[in-house]
Amino acid sequence: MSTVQRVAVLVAIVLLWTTVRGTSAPPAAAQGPNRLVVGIGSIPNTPDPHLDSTANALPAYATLFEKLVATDGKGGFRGVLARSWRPVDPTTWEFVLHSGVRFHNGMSLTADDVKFTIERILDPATRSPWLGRISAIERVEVTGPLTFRIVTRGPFAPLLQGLTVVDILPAAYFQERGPAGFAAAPVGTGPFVFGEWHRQDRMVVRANPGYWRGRPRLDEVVFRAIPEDSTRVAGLETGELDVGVLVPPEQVDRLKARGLQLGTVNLGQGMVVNLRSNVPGPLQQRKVRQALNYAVDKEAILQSILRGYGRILDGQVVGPDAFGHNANLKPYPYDLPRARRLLAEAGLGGGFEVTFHGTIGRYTKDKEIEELVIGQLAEIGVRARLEIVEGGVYIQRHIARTLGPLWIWAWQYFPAMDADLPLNFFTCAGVGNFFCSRDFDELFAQSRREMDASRRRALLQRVALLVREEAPVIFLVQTPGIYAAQSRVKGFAWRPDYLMDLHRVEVGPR
Amino acid sequence: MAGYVARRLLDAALGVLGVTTIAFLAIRLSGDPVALLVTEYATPEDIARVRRTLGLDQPLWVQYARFLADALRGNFGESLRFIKPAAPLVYSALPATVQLAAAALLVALAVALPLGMVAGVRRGSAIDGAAIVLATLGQSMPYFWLGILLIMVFAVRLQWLPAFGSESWRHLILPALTLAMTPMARIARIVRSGMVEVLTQDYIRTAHAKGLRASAVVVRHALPNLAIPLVTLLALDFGTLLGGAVVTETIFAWPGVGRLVVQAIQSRDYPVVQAVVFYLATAVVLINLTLDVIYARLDPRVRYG
Repeated sequence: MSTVQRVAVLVAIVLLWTTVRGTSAPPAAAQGPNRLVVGIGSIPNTPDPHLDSTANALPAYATLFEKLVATDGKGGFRGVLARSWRPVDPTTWEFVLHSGVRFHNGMSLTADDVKFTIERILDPATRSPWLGRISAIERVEVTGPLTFRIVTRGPFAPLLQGLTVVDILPAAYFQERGPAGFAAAPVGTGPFVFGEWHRQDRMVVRANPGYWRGRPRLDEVVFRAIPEDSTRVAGLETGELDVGVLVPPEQVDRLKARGLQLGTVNLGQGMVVNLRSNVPGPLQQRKVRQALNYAVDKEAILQSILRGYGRILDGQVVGPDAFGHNANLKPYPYDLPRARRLLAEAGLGGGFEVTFHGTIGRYTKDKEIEELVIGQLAEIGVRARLEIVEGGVYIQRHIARTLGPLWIWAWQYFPAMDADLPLNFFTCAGVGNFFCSRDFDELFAQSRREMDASRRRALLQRVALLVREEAPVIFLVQTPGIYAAQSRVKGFAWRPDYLMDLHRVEVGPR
Repeated sequence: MAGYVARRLLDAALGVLGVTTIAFLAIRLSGDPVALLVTEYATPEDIARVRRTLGLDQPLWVQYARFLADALRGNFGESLRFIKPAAPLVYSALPATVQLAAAALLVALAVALPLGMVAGVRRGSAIDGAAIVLATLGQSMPYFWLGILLIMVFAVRLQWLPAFGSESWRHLILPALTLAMTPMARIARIVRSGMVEVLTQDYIRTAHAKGLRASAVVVRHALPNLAIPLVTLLALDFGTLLGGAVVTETIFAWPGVGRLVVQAIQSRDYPVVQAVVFYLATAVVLINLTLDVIYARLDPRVRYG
């Protein structure tokens, strides 16, 4: 017994020791009237915004840092730190910065900061995941304190979409502190200044009184990393969270009944079933790919699985929130006779067997959607075998072209909100390509060279029309981002580009 | 004794080497981190460059030799996700997990020891029935189910305790209860059955015949004989606790090693996975070794051959 007692005493000592280990003031519950606690699946891996490209990191970074441009939610771009821009020639863009913008440390924003920022991301030693988005940039030329030129390797019309992920950092401060010093005390131009960051736990930011567009109404924002959906919902119910994002559709009624405000946004992410048509097999025939589109009841996915949240894709992988969306296109109707007829015309009236790769928990309700689609394909004799692939391997196998012939996929186009981004992967030479059409490639290449924004938009809309006809994927839904907020929270909205505009949010008394 | 400990230390080192080698191979054979490090919009050149930077273009045996040489110096490389040395990441997450596991063990012992003893002494009573139900339920309830149930009851409905987080002792209660359930059930079961067996022994009858009080018989004479199976169980359960911490920490957003390793596996963050496996394997092996040595003190019949 004495040994058991000793073990117990030892355990108790360890417990006491770890309890008194340095913990800061509890920020869990919203105590002050102007603190907003946001529950989200994860927080940034580091306070350095160039080193984490995960979706959940975007809203937290956006409180501290700003970009040159942002999307306007209607398929266009607006200036943030850039006051204006114009292409000078097919490979050169000229930008003018706003004057009077100050970093949190008091230094003024200049063109040198932009040059430093872009060069840092382009430097492979930085290991920035955003490098691929702006790798078309050859150099940045500073032409004045607030003016600079971006020179691309070739004509690259979608430059602005690449810049929507580039957070501008203060050159002098960064060089003085070094990467580790900067990550410990990051400085940007955003509406909030850095407070605390605890890995995999929480990030705290505080109001920037000197923000160039006016002090935010909130005093403090706390981002809490809560990976488990049920726990996030519980946190909303207990009031520990003021706002929670990615609420599962089936929890909406429960939260509404508790008096929470529920909101939904169609995120910039088109969910489809990719069809590998560039290898021998039934999917090489366009009629077969179209038949699969007619065989799937998108309305059933939307209503019975997503409970009405989300939006049926209208024969293109982006929504009306994206640059290049074609408003004239209609979704493939659910039409089984037509699907059967097309299959018969393709000489596959008896159907065929095919492998369908799916995921669990990678996308909202992915497993349920996979099972429903497979059940519906069986109606026209297409016998799909579902194989679930673990999330860590999924992208890798996508790139290595070892998924499919059918596999679930969401073409993420936030935060850039430009159809160019997903369509780039439909080219014959695209990474992990699964579809190849010379017509597509030609039209798409033309859009990338077209420096005039409205003509580029028109070209992308023609590309969209072609994609609908070719049906390289089964178009499903634009995935919903459901969020909930306590009734005392005013002015909160989540945007299709995954960002949150927290500048105007207020929290009333509890 | 010294020779025995030395030999066991060598065994322990081999065990750790074996486990880390398996982890090294398993994580590499099951997926490549590079695809997850670049965005899905990366070109093949981007991917090749990242692979070169990380040394992943080298043959597996070269990577393994480098890994071992570095690991011996306590260097597990840099986390691919956090872009920081992996070993300090593990150290900084360790206190939270140790705290959780220790609290769970304490709760388990505090409940299971008295319950198991009473159940064993009063066989067939209501308490015995309760102990059997607890043992069955505790061992069959999955952590995620129990965790969410506790959140629903104590955080959402009763509003007594916070649903997630790690800021105060109040945040510790629900995850510790969740994690305690399995060891609690196992300890209660083994104490009960041990007690039942011991109470039939001759020396217990002798103790009773001496006129000792029933409680003294149980505490002084019966209980010490349960120490060996109990210590064995605790040693084995330490590994189970760490496994349970992986799920429990995710449910309660508890920033410990469990969550670190879950996310590291998902993103194929080789250095972090290797560092976590190395440290946890070392901890399990050392604890088992320590308890083996304790055996000798508990039971003079155990010999170090």
